Amino acid sequence: MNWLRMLMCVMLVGAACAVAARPARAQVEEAVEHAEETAEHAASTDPAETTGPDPLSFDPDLAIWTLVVFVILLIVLGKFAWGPIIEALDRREETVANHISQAERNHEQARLLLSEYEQKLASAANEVRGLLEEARRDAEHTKQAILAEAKEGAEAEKARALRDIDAAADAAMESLAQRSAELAIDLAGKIVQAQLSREDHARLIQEAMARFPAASASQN
Amino acid sequence: MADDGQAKAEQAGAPGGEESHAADEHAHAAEHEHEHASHEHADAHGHAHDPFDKNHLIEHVKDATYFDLPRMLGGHWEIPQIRDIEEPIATIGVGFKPLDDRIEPLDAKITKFMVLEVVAAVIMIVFFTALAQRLKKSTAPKGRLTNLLESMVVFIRDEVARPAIGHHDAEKFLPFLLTIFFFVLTCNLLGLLPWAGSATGALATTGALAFATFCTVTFAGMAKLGPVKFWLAQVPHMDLPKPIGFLLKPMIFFIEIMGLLIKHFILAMRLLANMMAGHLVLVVILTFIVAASSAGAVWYAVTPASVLGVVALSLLELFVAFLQAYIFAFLSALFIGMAVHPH
Repeated sequence: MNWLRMLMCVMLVGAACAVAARPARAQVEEAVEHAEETAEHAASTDPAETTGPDPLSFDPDLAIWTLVVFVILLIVLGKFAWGPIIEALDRREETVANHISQAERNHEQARLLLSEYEQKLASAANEVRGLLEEARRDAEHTKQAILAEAKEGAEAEKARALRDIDAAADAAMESLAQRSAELAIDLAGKIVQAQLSREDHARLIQEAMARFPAASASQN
Repeated sequence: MADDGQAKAEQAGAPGGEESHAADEHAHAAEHEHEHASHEHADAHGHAHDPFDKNHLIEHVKDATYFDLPRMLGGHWEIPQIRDIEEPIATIGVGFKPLDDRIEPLDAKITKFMVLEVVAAVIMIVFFTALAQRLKKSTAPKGRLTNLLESMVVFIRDEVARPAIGHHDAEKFLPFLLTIFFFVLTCNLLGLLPWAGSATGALATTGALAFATFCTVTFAGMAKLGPVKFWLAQVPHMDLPKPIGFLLKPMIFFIEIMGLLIKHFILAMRLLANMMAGHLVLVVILTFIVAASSAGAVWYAVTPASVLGVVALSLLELFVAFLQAYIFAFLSALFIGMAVHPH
């Protein structure tokens, strides 16, 4: 990039030289020529003019002309340029100011909304946390209830089973006793068939039966 | 041109031997065109001519009734005159010899600076009515020229008019300040164009503009404070005992009025001096080329140095053109502000 810039500089200077050299040459020669002319003129006419041109000389024609041009310019531009331009600039300034204040208002509004939503979001999170907590509590509660119920059920089942077992044991005992008594009687009957009458037989059974439950109860 | 030179050569009738060398150098320098003419020309001017003669230099910067164009564009071009009579319509004098000597007669001659002022005015009207049209269509800033002109307009409003005059009154004087700023600027810039000249390098122009400022200042002051109070307000308020006050106040009034006139005169002189001095320096540096034309090989060293120097100083002039326009507008605004808000 640097060499490009340098090249441009060199080209510019070259162009300037070319441009400047030409008028300069011409101008200087013209100047010399005119000086010559004026000098000749002065020499031939008025010796007082040899003092030469005065840088502070005042040409009333030019002054009047300048004033006229300036006043016309002031009027024309005042009517067709400055008025509309300044008005447009003021209008633009106003528009821009309006836009800025509008933007500021919008920004403020957005900020409020944001904080509002943030608040809402925070409360929602809180709510969610509460809900979760509650749900957990509920679940815990339910769990406890279910557990208790299950335990209770199991307990009842067990008690029933025990009762059943007891009943079954009792029944078994009874039938066993009856069976064994019958067997014993049968056996004893076979042994003592001869000596024992039918009445004796029945009495003996009755006695044994009466003794049996008492004996089994004491066992338990 | 060639005929002219020939005629003069015959008239002068002294193309010496030692000048022919200078003439050769001269011709060598003048590119290729008009080589012949250049010969004649150089011969015509052969006899020892001081290139640094003050009169020649000033002649070149001053207003004239002709344009100096390069020969290929017609050379010396006299502006066609409506009233082509040397006899003046009137001579103006104030009865003070050194001043009267400087006031040229009123002769209704159209001069170079008048033409250039009209050119400046036309340029301004074209540019700023275009800008106004553009801004009327849409207020969104668009386009390089629009932004360039606009930024200057806004600068004059925000950095010149408002601080100097006050936010409230500035609007009224803005058209005046904008016109004077851009008119001075355009005239200054026209001075940087080859073959043109800066109309602000003549006392008549800067004086007329300063006079416009003076009128604006006094009328603005009188309109704001009342015709009598404005002039009385020129005397600053002082707590003086009565007898001394009676003695001093008229004197102070006189001094203040003189100050008012002088500061406007200085406004004109400052612009004139800056523009004229800059152009004189450019002419002097370019004249080195002519001065060195008879010095053989030295010419080859002097010419590029001189041209580069002129390029550099032209850039400085470009800055000065803006600076002086700004200063003129700013001081005008300051004077208006002082008149509208005394003390």
